[in-house]
Amino acid sequence: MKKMTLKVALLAAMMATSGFAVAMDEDSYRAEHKAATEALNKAKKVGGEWRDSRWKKSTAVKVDGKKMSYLHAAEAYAAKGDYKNAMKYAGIAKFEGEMGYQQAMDQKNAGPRH
Amino acid sequence: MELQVKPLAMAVVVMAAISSVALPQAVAADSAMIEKGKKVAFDRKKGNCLTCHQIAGGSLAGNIGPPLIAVNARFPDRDKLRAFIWDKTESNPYTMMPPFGKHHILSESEIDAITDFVHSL
Amino acid sequence: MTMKKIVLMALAACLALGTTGVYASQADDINALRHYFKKKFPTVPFKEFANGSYALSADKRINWESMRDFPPFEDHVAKGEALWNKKFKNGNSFATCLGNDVTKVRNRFPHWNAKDKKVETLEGNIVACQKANGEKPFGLKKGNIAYLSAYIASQANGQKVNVVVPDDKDAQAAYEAGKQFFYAKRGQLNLSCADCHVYSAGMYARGNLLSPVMGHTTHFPVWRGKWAKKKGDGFGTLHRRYGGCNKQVRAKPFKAQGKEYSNMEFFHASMSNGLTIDAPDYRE
Ligand code: HEC
Repeated sequence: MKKMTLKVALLAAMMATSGFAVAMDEDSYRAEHKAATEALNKAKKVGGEWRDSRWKKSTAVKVDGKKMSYLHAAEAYAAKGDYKNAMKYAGIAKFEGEMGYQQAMDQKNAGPRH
Repeated sequence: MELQVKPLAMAVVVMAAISSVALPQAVAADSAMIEKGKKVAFDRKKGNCLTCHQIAGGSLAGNIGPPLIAVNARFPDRDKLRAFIWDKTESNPYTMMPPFGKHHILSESEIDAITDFVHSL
Repeated sequence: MTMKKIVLMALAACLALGTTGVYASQADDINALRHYFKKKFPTVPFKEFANGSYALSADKRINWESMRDFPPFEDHVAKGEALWNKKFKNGNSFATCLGNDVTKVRNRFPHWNAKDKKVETLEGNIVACQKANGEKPFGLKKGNIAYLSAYIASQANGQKVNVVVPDDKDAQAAYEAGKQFFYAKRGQLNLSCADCHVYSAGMYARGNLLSPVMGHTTHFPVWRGKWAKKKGDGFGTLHRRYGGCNKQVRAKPFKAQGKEYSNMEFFHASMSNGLTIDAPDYRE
């Protein structure tokens, strides 16, 4: 009896922590996805988006045999509960958004130099 | 007579040992990196260096940038060469050379490998 | 620089171009490019620039000339002619919008529409015409739009490109925006149109000989070997090309006939002013 309750308690604790961990992963992914989207929207406003961040026709990443952009790959992995990969690709999309924006700002006054 | 032969034989043995053990090992470590760097350099989805540079062993090269020969004479300092590949816009904002590191076109380890490869040319 | 000098220079530029009332910045840009390319390619006569990289390499030219002997796009032009002659359901046709004299259509584009404050392009107006007449609009990059554009352009062959940027602040801002777009580095590879088609013109990227921007728009739409290997029939519009050249530097392409590409076309086509229209054409 005692042994039994201990086992149940242990199992319950394990389930709770693993569920908790997944929820945390999901939360950080949601935050990263939001940050990526915001960074890309900011880049878009100044015409600075890159090809593979979230363009529908991008072929940058292959997930389950389908080719897609980084942000779409992040979403595909999240849908499968693979938050490690989801985070990774959302992070790439965010980085590209930030760099694309910076690049467009640096090039604002571009013109001939010949 | 015997006394003279022995040191010579020993020297030969030692040299053979050096060349078969010590030297090749050092080269082997590098050549793996260099081989990896060459792959990354020639891969169209990675460095794609041949678009602009002629490189020994590569075909259908462009000529927008200088041929990559005697690179270690021009860049004795490997770190300088690496920084150049990582982000050439730092020293020349108008450069045609993509900022391979800064824009994450290549990973840091790929840039290490490519630097070793180009430095070996 | 003194005011007098500036006025004199602008005057000289106007005289050189044989037109009056040209936006000074446009005239300066054209003159600067002509000088730049004359220095870079001293043996290439001005009118040859309409032929792109085929003006620069004898080897490439041989291949191009043999393609032109049996052009792969004759059927496309014929289809375009049929589209031009076809009546809409309401009895109108493209001529209702673009004018009855088909030889006087191509060379009016791109131009500034002062009322709507925007650059109008030939392909943009083709589609606008369909919408205004209750017809289903063509796709913007290949197929029917390219056929019709090719027919209309072919009827203007022999005329000289003459894009006019009028004395209008908004028009000049659109031209300057297009110019900035052309010279701005973009995409993960951090390259501008000018990096390849001005500063590296005449050099090879792999096996591709980079064409000078001057002469880029004289012969569109084009039939491209590379496009023929993909879906479709090898034919495409100028904005399809813009998209391709954005993608290869890993920048997200913009919408065909959107503001970015239309403004760029205003600048880009200006750089071909004085060159002869010869459309459609074959390109690698
Ligand atoms: C990495 C180099 C590169 C960049 C950057 C680039 N292009 Fe190109 N472009 C090419 C190559 C290669 C071709 C095919 C060979 C040729 O005709 O130059 C080409 C062809 C073209 C053509 C067709 C020329 C003809 O004669 O029909 C046009 C128009 C053009 N590019 C416009 C642009 C514009 C506009 C941009 C900027 C959005 C741009 N290109 C950026 C490499 C580049």
